[in-house]
Amino acid sequence: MTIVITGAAGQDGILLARKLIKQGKHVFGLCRKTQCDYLKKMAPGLNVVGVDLTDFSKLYRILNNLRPIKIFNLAGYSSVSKSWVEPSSMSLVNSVLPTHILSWIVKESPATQIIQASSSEIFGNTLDFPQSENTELKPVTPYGLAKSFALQMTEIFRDFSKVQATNLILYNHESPLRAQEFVTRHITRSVAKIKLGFEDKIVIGNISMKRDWGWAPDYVDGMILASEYPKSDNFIFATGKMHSVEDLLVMAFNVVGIHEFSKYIVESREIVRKIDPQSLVGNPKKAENILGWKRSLNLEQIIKTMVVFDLAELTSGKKIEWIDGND
Amino acid sequence: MGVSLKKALILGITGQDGSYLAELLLAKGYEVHGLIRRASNFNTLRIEHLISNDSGTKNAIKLHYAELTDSSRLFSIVQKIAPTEIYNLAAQSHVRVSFDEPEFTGDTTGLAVTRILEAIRVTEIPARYYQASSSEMFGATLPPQSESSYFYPRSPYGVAKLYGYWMTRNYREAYNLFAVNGILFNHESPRRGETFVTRKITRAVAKIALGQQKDLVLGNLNAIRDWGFAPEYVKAMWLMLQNVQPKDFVIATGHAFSVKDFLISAFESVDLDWQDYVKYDPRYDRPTEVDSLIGDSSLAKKELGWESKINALDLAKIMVQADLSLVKNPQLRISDAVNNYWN
Repeated sequence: MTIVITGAAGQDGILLARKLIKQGKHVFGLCRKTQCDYLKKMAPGLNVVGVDLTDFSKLYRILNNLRPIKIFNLAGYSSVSKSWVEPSSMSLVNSVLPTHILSWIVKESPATQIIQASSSEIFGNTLDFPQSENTELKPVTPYGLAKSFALQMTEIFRDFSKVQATNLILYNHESPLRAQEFVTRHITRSVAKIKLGFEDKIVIGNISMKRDWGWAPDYVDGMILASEYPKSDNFIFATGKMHSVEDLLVMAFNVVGIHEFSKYIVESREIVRKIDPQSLVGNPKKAENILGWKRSLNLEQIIKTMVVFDLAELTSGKKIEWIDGND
Repeated sequence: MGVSLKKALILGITGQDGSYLAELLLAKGYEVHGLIRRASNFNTLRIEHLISNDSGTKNAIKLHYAELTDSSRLFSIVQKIAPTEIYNLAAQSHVRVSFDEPEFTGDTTGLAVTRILEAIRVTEIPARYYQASSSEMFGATLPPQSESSYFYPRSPYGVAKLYGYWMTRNYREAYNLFAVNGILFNHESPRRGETFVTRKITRAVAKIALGQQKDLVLGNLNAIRDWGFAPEYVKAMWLMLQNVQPKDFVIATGHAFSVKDFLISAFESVDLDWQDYVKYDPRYDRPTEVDSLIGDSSLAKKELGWESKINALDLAKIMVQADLSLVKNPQLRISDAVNNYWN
C-alpha cells in the first residue's frame, strides 16, 4: 500500500511525509535530484526518489514501479509572482503534470486515488465573499489560471473516467518551513533581523493586500482527512478570517516588543505584482462539517511561532530543522 | 564613456565549474549574471558567497530564474541582459544517470544548446558563446584524443553533448557567430558533486579517517581517466572567448590514471591502505563503459598558452584535505574549505 508524494521537498511535502510515516505508512517522496539530500534530512524514514517531474517518461516508469494506491500531487511552481516571469515552465508543472498523472491512472492503475493541491488563487478577482466550493473560478494570474486548469481537468477525469480524484482548494498556509520569498516568512525573518540589529529596514510590496492565512500542519491534517473520505470531492481549507499584510507587520513587530515600526518600512513598487487578487478569504464549513477538520493556531500564534523560530535560527548562526512541537 | 563593460551570462552557475568561473570573472571585473531554477529550497551552496545580501555587495552575481527547456524565457533573458559572453555549462551532467534519463538528458544537455544559439542569432546580440563539450564524446575512440579525433560517444550523455558540439560548430559556420567548443576532459575539485567517483572517494576517505564510515563501495576500478583541476579548466574557458579566432580546443592534462591510482593517492594522504576499505559492486558499472580517455591539449598550449599544472594524484590530496575540514566542521561553507585560486 504505497503512497507517493510529489513536491515532497516543499513545506507541505515535508509535513505530510512526516505525518504519514508516523502513521506507519509506506511513503515515497519525489523531488528534484538536487533536493534529495535535504529531503532525506528533513523527513527521516521517507523513501526519496530524485526525478525532474517534467521528465514525463521517467515519471511513468517510476509510477509503474511503485504502483501507489494514493498520489498526493503537491508539486508545483509555487510562487505566484514568479509565475509572470516563467509562465511556460510554470504551466508545465502546474497544469500538464497533473494531466499526465491522471492519464497514468486511467491507463495503468484505475484504483489509484489522486489528491490534487489547488489554490485560492483560482478565485482571482471574484466578488463572492467568502469563497466556497461553489464560487466561480476567476483567475487573474498565470499561476491561478494553471491551477484552475488542473482543478477542472481533475474534475473531468473524476466525472467521465471515474478516477478517484480529490481537489484541495488551499488558502495560504504558513510555518517556519515556508521559503523566505513568501510574504509571511519575509516579514518574520526581517523583523527578527531588525530585532537582532542585522538590518534596519523591511521592503514590502502591497501593504493593503488581504489574504486568509492558516497554519500549515493543520492543512496537512486536512489533506489526510480528505484522502480518507470515501467520496471524491472538492474541499476548501481556509480559516474564514481575512487579514492584511499590515496586520502581519503589527503582529510580527509585537512579538519582539517594537510598537512603533513605521520607520523600518520601505514600500517598493517593484515588488507589487502587475495584477493581483486584492483580497481572498475562504469558507471552511464543508471541510469542517464533512471531514471534521479542525485548526489549532490562529494567525497571531502562527506569526509568533515563526518569529521565535527565526530569532533562534539567526542567533545560532546555522540552519535549524524545524519540527512541529505537536508532532 | 568609452569603456565597454564586460558582461557574462553563465548557465549552470550553481555547479562546480559555474561557481569557479563566476569567481574568476568577478575578479576580472565582469558583471556576472547566472541562471538558476526556482525551488522551495535552493541549491546555491557553491555560490552563496557570491550572492548579494540585502545591503548589496558590490562584487556580487545577479541571478535570474530560468529552465533550459523554456526557449521563450531563454530568449527574453538574452535580450534583456545583452551579455558580451555566454558560457553554457548547464546540463544533466552525470553519465551514469543519463542511462536512466535519456530523454531528459537529451532535452537539457543537447537541445538547450540550440535554444541558446537561436536566442543569440535572432536577437543579434554580439555575444561570444562557449559550449561545454566533453571528452565523453570520444567514448570508444582510442587515446590520445585531440581536436581531430573521431567521435564515438558511449552514453546518452555523450550523444547529447555531441549534438551540442555540432550545433555550436554549425552556428559558427552558418551564421558567423563567435561560438566555440571547449572539449574538456574530467576535471574535479572539492566542489565536485558527491555522486561523482572522485568526490565519492575523497569524501569517504575523510570519513573513514575520522571514524565516521567503515568502507567504500565502488564499480570499475580499472577505468582510465585524465583528471585535471577544475579552477585551471575554467581559466581555459575564458581564454577561448578572448582568442582572436573562434576555434575549438581540447583541454586536458595528457596524463592517464586509473580509478585505482586515484584511490591509492587519496588513502595514502591519510596514511591508510585502500585495500582494507574498498569493496566492488557491479551495480555501479555503466551499461557501456568508456575504457580510456586521455586528452592531447597541445593546440591549447600553442594558441592559448594554457597548460595544466596539477595532476590526478595531487588533486586527490587537495580534495581529501578539503573533505577532512568539511566533515570536521559541517557548518563550513564549501567555498571556504579551500583557498581562493584567483588571488
